[in-house]
Amino acid sequence: MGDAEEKEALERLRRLLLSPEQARLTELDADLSEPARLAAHLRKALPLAVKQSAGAESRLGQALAPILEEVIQTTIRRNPRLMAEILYPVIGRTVRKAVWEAWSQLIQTVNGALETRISFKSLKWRWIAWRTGRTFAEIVLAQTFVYRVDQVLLIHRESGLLLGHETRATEVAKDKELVSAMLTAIQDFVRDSFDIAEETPLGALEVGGLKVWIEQGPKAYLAAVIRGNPPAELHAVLRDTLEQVHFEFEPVLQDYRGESEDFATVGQFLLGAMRYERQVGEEGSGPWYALALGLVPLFLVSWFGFYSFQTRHRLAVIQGVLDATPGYHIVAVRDRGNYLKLEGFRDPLASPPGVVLGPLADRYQWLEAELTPYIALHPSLVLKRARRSLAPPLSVRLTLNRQGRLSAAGGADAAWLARFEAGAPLLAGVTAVDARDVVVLKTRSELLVAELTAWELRFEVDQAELSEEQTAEIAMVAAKVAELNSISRAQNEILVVEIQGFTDASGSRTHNQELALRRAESVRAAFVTRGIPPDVFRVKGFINAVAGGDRDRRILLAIQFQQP
Amino acid sequence: MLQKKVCLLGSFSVGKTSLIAQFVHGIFGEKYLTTIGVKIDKRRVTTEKGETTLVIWDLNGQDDLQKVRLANLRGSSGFLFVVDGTRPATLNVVLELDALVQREMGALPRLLLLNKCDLQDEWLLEASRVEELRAAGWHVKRTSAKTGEQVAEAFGALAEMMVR
Ligand SMILES: Nc1nc2c(ncn2[C@@H]2O[C@H](COP(=O)(O)OP(=O)(O)OP(=O)(O)O)[C@@H](O)[C@H]2O)c(=O)[nH]1
Ligand SMILES: [Mg+2]
Repeated sequence: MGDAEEKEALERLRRLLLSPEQARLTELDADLSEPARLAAHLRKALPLAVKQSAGAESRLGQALAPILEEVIQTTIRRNPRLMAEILYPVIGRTVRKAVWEAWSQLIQTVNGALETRISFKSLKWRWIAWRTGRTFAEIVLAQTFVYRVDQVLLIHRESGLLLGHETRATEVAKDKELVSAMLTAIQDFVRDSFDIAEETPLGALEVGGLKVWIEQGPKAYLAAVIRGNPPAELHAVLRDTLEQVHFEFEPVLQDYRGESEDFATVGQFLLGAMRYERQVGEEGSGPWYALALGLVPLFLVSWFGFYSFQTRHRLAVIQGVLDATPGYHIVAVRDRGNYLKLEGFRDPLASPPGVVLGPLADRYQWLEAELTPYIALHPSLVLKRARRSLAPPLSVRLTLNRQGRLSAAGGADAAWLARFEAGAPLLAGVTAVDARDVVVLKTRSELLVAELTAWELRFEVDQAELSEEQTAEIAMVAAKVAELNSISRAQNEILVVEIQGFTDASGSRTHNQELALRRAESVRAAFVTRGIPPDVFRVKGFINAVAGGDRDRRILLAIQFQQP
Repeated sequence: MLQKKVCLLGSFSVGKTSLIAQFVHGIFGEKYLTTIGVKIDKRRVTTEKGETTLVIWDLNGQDDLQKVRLANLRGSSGFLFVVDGTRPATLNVVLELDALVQREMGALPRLLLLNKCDLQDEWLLEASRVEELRAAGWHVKRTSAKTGEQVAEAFGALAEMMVR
């Protein structure tokens, strides 16, 4: 055999013997060096490995723990919103608990005060309390009141500091400062977590059977803690109280440094918001009685013998309430058996007497009001009058301070600004005007956009159909949409108006989703009836995060322009 | 009576919550429970202007300036910026936060707390760096939420600055 031949035979033999291993080795090498293939193998083995090591002493777990911790932290840092959503139910509960604890102390106090009074009724209630396992105070409140405002907190909006606090109990709930700060933080939290615009105020919270209604003002807000089922009018009462506080305390609110002396007298205003309504059939003494007590001596002298004590008491209260209402000057209140007669003066812009008195006048069949019109200089009425006569665009907010300075803020056209500057100083009760915060919008379409986005339409609970009043308002707004539409057409742009329907959080999600859309749809339909092409509109539904509140249930518009 | 809102700011795990727990309740825990959102506490202090209630906002650690919730800071009369002395990087975070606060809210009373000063062996902040900060106008205190060292003093000093 030749040398070459021998070599070749050997090579063939080697290949014959070794090639399967050779191929296997190359493959294994590839398995190890190509990450994709290695991963495929590990994928099969890893679960088993983890499972096996999870037993005994779990070194794998120990090794992984710090890594997982870091991963969690990075996730939170990158996307706190996600975390907030996951944790919301937990946090909600913690917060509820904290607030509830503060207020359950109050119940204790009420309890204590009541324990000492004994009557047949109280024995009956005590029996119910014992049987149902609820506290005596709870039973009394439930049996006696339709609703009752138990506490009012006035809270500095920016810092969440407590400015004023009124409560029914003699002993004050301990941590009211904390509750006030927490309420502020909760609002920030909810707003952040649910993508609600900063100006959108939170209307209400439910805390362990108590309702907390929140009324927002520019510098401070009012939180009322309510038992039972308050009527929607209570919102108006809270709003009035808050407006008064803003008027009276304007200078200190402007630059609040945390000095509680500044608000030493705020309590008298807050007391006005401590409304309640008794269950029918309940006659008795309460804070009205206390209020009346101050007025009684006045009437005792002249009226003694004419009226029963009950009637005098009621009339005194009615007079007191009307006198405290801006725009009323009452000379006499008379009980005429089945009707009530009022004599005096009333600013035509003040709420009608029936509305002011509410349940107080319930026992009369009608109300005869001999009220001569007059112009009241109470700030809230001056402001109302200014709104009427100056007719600001929807995008302008008018405010009046204590010294009578009328300020306008927001977007307006030059013509309105001129009208404001010329006309406002002539209004009774206005001493100075300030238009520094008015942004002059040059074009008509800018103004229309500003107006439309500032507009809102509120709804009653679970209502999507439009009332007459709402339809009239939409007609006014539709004219603006139509005008904006023709302007944008002329400029070769396509106007898109998004109709955003909002609901409050009470009721099921699916129901609310559907309700929000129905609200938006009925507004769209109303616009379309007014001759605006349907394709201008898009509808969207939103559910607000927390239950209750007037402002939760509404329609907002968002405006866009698209290129054709 | 005065009320003042105070915010604690700083990176994750520097000891903000622990400092407050020490100051308000006099307790300390080794366990790390990261704060999510806001926790609020209060305590009365006596300043030269009389009694003052500090309403103390404990915010979650903020390393990412973009994510700071300005709404929570508003209305604050003073700030405690907290650094973990064993992690010098947390000082950079604080300096950025301070710049942000100054930009958004102007110059307000503030104190720099170099926390965890009980951990001498692991301390990594150089004395020269601290001197630089003092020279730059910072009021600096070395605190320990664990031993309580300088904690009440820090809150007290801030209170004095705020009522002045
Ligand atoms: N040794 C020592 N440990 C501390 C001190 N202060 C805090 N710690 C520990 O550091 C960890 C974090 O403390 P926290 O107070 O939760 O930190 P934080 O700044 O509130 O953290 P976040 O809420 O996540 O921003 C905990 O394990 C504490 O026990 C201190 O002064 N000394
Ligand atoms: Mg914390």
